[in-house]
Formats: sequence, structure tokens, C-alpha cells
Amino acid sequence: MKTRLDRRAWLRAAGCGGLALPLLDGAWARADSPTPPLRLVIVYTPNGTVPKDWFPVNATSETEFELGRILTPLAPFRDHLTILSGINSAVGLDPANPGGPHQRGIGSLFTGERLGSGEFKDGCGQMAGWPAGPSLDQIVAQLIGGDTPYRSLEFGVRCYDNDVQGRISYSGANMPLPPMNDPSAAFTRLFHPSTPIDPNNPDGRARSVLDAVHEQFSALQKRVGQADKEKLDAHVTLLRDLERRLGLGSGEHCDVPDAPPALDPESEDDMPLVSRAHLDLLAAAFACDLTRVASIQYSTGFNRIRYPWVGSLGEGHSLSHAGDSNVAAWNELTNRLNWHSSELAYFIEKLRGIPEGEGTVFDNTLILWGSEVHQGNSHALTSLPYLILGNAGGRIRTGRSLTYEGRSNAELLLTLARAYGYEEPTLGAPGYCDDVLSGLLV
Amino acid sequence: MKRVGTLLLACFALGCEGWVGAPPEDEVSECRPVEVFPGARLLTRVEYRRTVRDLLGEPSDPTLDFPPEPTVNGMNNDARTHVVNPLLLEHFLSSARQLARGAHERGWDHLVDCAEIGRGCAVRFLDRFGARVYRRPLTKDERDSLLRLYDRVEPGLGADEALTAVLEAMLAAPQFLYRVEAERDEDGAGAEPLGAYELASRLSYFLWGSTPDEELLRAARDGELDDANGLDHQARRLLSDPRAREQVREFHRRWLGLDRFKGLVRQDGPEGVGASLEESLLLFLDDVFWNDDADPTSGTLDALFRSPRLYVDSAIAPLYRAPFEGTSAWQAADAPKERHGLLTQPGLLSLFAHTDQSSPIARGVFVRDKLLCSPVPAPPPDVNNTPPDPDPSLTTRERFAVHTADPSCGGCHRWIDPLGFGFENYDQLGRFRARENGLPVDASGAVVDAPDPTLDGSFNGLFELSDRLATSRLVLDCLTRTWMTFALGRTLEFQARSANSLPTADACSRDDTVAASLDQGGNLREVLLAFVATPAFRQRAAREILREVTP
Repeated sequence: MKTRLDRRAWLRAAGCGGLALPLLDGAWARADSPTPPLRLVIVYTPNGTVPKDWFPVNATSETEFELGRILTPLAPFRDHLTILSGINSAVGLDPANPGGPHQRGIGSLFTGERLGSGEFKDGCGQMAGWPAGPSLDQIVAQLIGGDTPYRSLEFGVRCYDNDVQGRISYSGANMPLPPMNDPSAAFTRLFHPSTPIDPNNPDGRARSVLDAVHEQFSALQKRVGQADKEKLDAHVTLLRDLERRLGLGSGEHCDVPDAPPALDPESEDDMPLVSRAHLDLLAAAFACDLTRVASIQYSTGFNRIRYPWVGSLGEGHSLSHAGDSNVAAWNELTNRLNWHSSELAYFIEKLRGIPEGEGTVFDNTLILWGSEVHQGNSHALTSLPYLILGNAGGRIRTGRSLTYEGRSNAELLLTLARAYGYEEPTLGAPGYCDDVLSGLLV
Repeated sequence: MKRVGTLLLACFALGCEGWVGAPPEDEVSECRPVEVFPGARLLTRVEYRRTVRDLLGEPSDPTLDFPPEPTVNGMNNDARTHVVNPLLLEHFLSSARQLARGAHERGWDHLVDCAEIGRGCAVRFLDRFGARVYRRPLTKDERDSLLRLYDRVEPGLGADEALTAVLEAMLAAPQFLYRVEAERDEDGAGAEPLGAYELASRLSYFLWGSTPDEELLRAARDGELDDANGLDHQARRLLSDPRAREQVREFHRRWLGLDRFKGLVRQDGPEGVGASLEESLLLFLDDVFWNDDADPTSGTLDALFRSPRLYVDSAIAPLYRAPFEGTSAWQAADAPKERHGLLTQPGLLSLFAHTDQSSPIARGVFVRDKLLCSPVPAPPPDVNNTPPDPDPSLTTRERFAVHTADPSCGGCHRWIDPLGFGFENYDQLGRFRARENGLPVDASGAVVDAPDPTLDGSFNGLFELSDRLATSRLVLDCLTRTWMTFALGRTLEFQARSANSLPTADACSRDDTVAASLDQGGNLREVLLAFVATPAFRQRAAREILREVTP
């Protein structure tokens, strides 16, 4: 049975309803705003692509082409796609920077950043730390995510490498955002935020508890060394952000989705169901304006995952290392990526089913799909497979296949950030981002 | 090799030197404090779960949906990288609320001895139980603030709710969520070396993965931990508690990367075989680690590599042709013809395998990485590492030999493959096989260019390799380093500044620990006890001390 979610109910459920009531008037103005909000989703799939099946075929111009085999499920949305080629991880290609190819690839994929030094080991032995700055989704979240209860949401499908190879989203240098692998936990977080509330005086009590927590921080801060203090400061900053968010409401009245079925996020059999459940939840979160920014991460580079539902019984990372002549292996990889395309087609269809203003939520959304290497067996950080789906409220030109030979991925990220109001001259590590890519912004 | 092993066995009983491998060159009395200071340690999920269980009697696991910690050096407690994030913070807050409510519902008399709940009881609660939550007595500021909270909530909601609010605030406070090891005393002086309460927490989180109990806090308060004997007494007490058994399991999970059993699929294995294989391996490791019967090899490195024990449940017993009778869920059997220590455990063998075949490469890399602490350099990034398709006319060894015959691979694979081929008597499920595809299995192998040359040389099968590892000082040294990383939650620093400078405290501590364990015949429990006595465990890092002294 569907229940309705309204702002007050969400606040009560969130448990800290009275925290920031003065903010509400400002935050709530959105409902009457004539301009619908923009949204951004970044999507990661591991180990590159199958170039011959990914890039368009029979192209005669940037708008005249046929979709490759991998992207055929997205054919109904062909006019909403922009397929990019030639874009390198410039920062990853620079041998002066730390890390192995998988680390540099995924670390820079959505950040354009170099990796810091650290103790994460590439499967091949090289060492690196986290990226030195935020990812595109988080840069955009800072710009458009402040009026929603969640600045962003991170979903993961079988993401179990908890190091630089297992993260795509960063709120800042050394600040990875871990994905939620379990749809049930994500559902509870979004639609039934925990914590029973005292019916008598929830607001005053919650505020008093948080005040005391802040006082405990202050008491400890006076007594610790610098390295401790930095960690505690970061914690307090997040706490303040959380308090502010809890004072914000959900969007317009919207349908709370049914709870997802109980799934085992670690199981091979449930993997397609987990993917669908995440996509349903994200669509619902957009509909309720719980967030405007999200990431979806399908596993990690060193995965051993099979996709039996598309007949792929090879283990992901090994499979992607198949030699160029191994037709069967490359066919499996194409089938896997084809499945990912259908997942995104499903998601787009879902967003197109949510009316917003004169159109649908999809009209105001942009999805950026990417992988950390060109193809798995070369680990090449050149011509990363990036695909844009949607145009962020008409700000990005789509229906195209565009080649930007040798341009830095930081420049792609900068260009997309511009669509959301980012005004800084560069993005990512200094020296790898000269200008926006021409021909993308409307 | 087997004869040497037997000989050494006799040596242990007599307490003589029998270990293979060079001891450290000179006795050194002075060590340089390490310069790694990672800052306050946030509780891991495991630590949080056990801490609230031991503090509050919380029966459920509040951390099921907490995001995982970063993996560094194979561990998940690296203080530098395990930091808070928005998702984790949400969990901390909602968990604090739920835990406080749960404690309230179970009744305050479990936590504090009060005739009636009121302000006097709140004071008592903070002074007695509060000191357990914060793992040290509260400072005046902390105590005053929490009493103010009580006073704000009590008038409207009553004493019970006010006390619940106080507990909730404490469980969301950094004094609970972090272990801070650079606290100044209230007069502003830096506590140096580790303060007694800081040391108490280090000890309990090392040996229990949980909060100090009342007895340990008492020992800290009474200054008993400042004394080597007092510290050793507490370490032995903690190690004899069931909580230590959980923690040793946690170590084994991290050391061998047992998270990878999740969702494991192996050809011919029943569904969910990963869970059985993981438990089988952990039971074997428990058996080795905790056995203290009269046999001099019990609980030693020797037993780790040579015990014939195999644990099976009804799901996996048929795979290994193990007898399984009666009703107990797990049964132990000795299988001396097929099982000979860790390397021959089905759990380990299936972990380092492909879905449908063994993996000589993964197994060889495992030995280099986890047993010799001697990782192999990187393969070139464009290498084709697809396992060769099973070919019914060849053995795995023959297929991989073709695979790595390329001279550009051979440079590194000569360190890996000869080790891994020694495992070929065991398939992707760790089932013993004398023949593969109708062909006899060749399980001859070699250790090549080990950091300790006495390990080098050819061997035939895992029995011989295991015998060699069982008496290797290098292997004990490597395992000690892994325990140290687990205990300290940071990257170890072994590099002296220059040839003439003092060794680091980490290096000294490792050498002292290995020597102490060797004195006990390579006893594994002794590694933990001896390490507790070393400077690396008892002192904080140097950089922070300098900062404290010269602000």
C-alpha cells in the first residue's frame, strides 16, 4: 500500500524535526518556484569497455551514426545521448603521479584529481592514497544539493573494495563517500529515518542532546593534539551539516515507494534485483526531492563477479584482461555492458514517468556514465568511455557522438559542472584542465 | 625437509636453538620513536558492536548497515584513513538514540546502582558508568555539560527520559566514538608516554576489540599499567577471556582477507559453500592458536603449518571424504595424508582459486605477500591475466606454464609460479587430487629469492613447503608484523633514517617480540603478550610528542 510522504511526516520521522525550523521557509520556497531543480547522477562500471561495440558505427557526422551493440537498449533515448571519445585521464597518464593504473583511473574518473600518497596497494603493487579533491557529483552537490535532506546519495552494487579502487565519489580531498550496497538499508534511511520520537517534546529533547554533544566536542578539543583536533573538527562540520539537513523537508507530496524485497547484496543471483531496487529508490528520492545528486557504482575493478543472467560466467577482472583475439571473452563483456545499458534505460524510463513542471524529472537530469580505463586488457587511460544521458534542463547538447582527441577528462567534468553553475576557472588537479570542451554546453 | 622438522621439534622441547634464518645482527638497546601519528582512532564496526555489547548489554548488532572502513595493509582499523563520513555520522546518531532507549528499557539497574532515578542518580551514573563509556573518568567540563543536559530534559520529560538523553549524548560524543591517544591532563601537560587510561584502551582494543572492563580501568587508575609486570598481568588476564577468542578470529579474518568468502562460487561446491569454508578455516586457526596441551608444538608456528586437523560441517564433509557422524554442527578430524597445516586447509585453497580451477598464481602471491612479507613487483599493466580455459587434455600446471612462458612475464613469475605449482595437489575447492584430467599431478615447486635465503630451494608438494615455513624465523617475523599492524592501526615504520642511525621503535619492538616467541618455541600467543611489553605498543608516536612539548 502506498503511503504519502509529506514534509512534516518526514521531519517527525527524521527525529530532529524542530532543529532548524527557521530555515524551513527559505528551503520550502522550492515548491512554488517556477524553475524545477536540476539533478545529476554519475554511474560507474568497471574495467573499461569494448570499444568496437561501444562507440558509434557508420558515423557520417556528429549526429548521423548508429549506436554500437552495447548501447542498443538506449536506442529509444538516442536523442538524449552524447557519446564521447578521445577524452583521457590526463592526470592519470602523467607518470609523475602516484598509484597504479586502476587506482589512477578510478581516482580521477569523476574528480580529475591526482592521488595523494598513501598505503593503498594496487593489485599490481603500486601505492597511493585517496584523490586530492572532490568529485563532480560533490562539486555539483555543493551548488544544488543544499536545499534537500540529503546533499547526495551513494548507491553501490557489490562494491566491496574499501580503498581508492572502490570509491568514485569524494566530498573533498581524502573524503570518500562509501556507497550503500543494501537497498533495504537505503530504503530505511530515505523513507523511514530511524529513531522513535518521544511524543511529548521531541524537538526540545533532541536539541538539548545535540547541544550537549557539541559541548562534549568542545571539552575534548581543548585537550588534544593537532592531528586529533583536525579529525574532530571534520566530525563537527559534518554534524552541523546533518543538523541543517534534518531541518529541511522533503519535496512535494509524493508516493513513498514500496519497500524493496529482502535481497542479499552479496549474492550473484540477487545482483540484477539489487540494481533495480537501487534505481527505483533513487527515482523515488528524486520524486520526493530528498536529494538531487547521486552516484551508482557497479562493483570495482578487481571484481570476480559473473553475470550469469546474460550468460557471462567469466570473473570480471580476469575477463577484462582477455587478449584482443579472444572473441568469446569480448562477447561476454559486450553482453555485460549491454545489460548495464538496459539498466540505465530502465532508470530513464522511470524518471520520465515522474511529471515535473511542463515535463518530467528526466528533462532536468543528467547522467554521466564512465569507466576507469579504455579497455581492460590494456588499462589504457586514454579515450575513457564516457556517456552523457540527458541534458540537465536543456543545458547540454545531446543526440551526438563527439570526439575530443586527447583532451583531459577534467575538462569534461569542468564543462558539466558549468551546466550546474560552477564558476571556477578549472577543476581537478592544477595543470590538467585548460578550458571547457566546446560544443557541449548549449 | 621432514626430517629437519622432526629434529627441530625435539629441539623445542629441550629449549635449544633450532630455528632457520638469521637473527637480528646486534643487540640494540636504544630505538628511535616512530614518526607516524595518525590521530584519533574512530571505532570500527566490530569495535563499536562489541563495545556497546560489553557496556550496555546490547544484544543486537547496531552496525549492520554502517559503511565499511577503508582497507589498509589488509586491516580495517587504519587510523589515518578511517574517518567519519555523512552516512556513518547518521548511523552514529540514530544508533546512539536506539542504544540509549534499549538501555532504558532493560532497566537502569544494569548500569548504575541507584535507589531511585533522580539527579543524585545521574551524578552517580556519570561518575561510575560514565567512566566506562568514556574509558576514563570524565573531566569537569564533560560532567558539567552532561548534568546540564539532565537538568534541561528532566523538568518536561522526567528523570528516566533525562538519563536516557544523557546516555544518548555520551554515545554520540567523540569521547566514546574515538580513542584519543594524545590527551593532555587537565593541567595541560602532555601525558607521556601513553597515559594509563590510553594504554588500557589500547590493550583492550588490541586483545578484545572492545572497551576496557572495570578491572582494567581500576588497574589503570591505580598505576598498575605503568609497571611491566602489572601490564603483563592484565594482558594475560584479557587473553584468557572469551573476548580474546573473538578478537583472534577477527585478526585471522583480516590477515587472510576472509571477506572474500562473501558470495564465493566454486564449481562442484554446494550453494553457500563460502560460509562453511570460512568457518572451517577459522576453526582450524582457533584450534592451532589456543591449543595449550602438553605437546611442545601446541600453539606454535609449527602447528600452524603442520597440524593435520580438518573441521567439517555436514555441507562440506562429503567434498573432503571426511567422516561425519552425530549431530554437532562442526566436527574435527585428523586427515594426516591430505592435510598438513594452514596451506592445505580447504578454506585457504578455495579462497585462492578461480571458480572452476586452482590458481597457482594467486596461491604463490599469497605465500609471498602474507607469509614472507615479500610482495612481488607489479606486472606490466597490459598483461593478459585471464586464466586459461580448462583444457581436458592438460593439467592446470601445463596450461599455466604455457601462459607464463613469455620471457617478459618470467622475470617476476619465477618468484610466484614455482611456489604456486607446489599447491597443485588441491583443486578450486581444496580437494586433494593425485591426478588431474587423467594425468598425474606434478606438485614440485621451489622457493626462489626469498628475503631469507635459507628458505630457498626446491620442494615437492605442500607437506614439504609447510615443513620449511614452520621453522622459519622470517615467517614468524612476518606474522608478528601483521599482528603489530593490527594492534596499532597504522603503517609500521621499519626504515632507519640512515645506516648509522637508531632503529625505529617498530623495528626494535618486532625483534623483541619475535625473540620472545622463539624463546617459547615459536608460540603464537606469546607474540601478542610480548608485543604488549614493547615500546611500539606502550608509547605514542614521536611527532605528536614533539608538538606537545614545543607547541
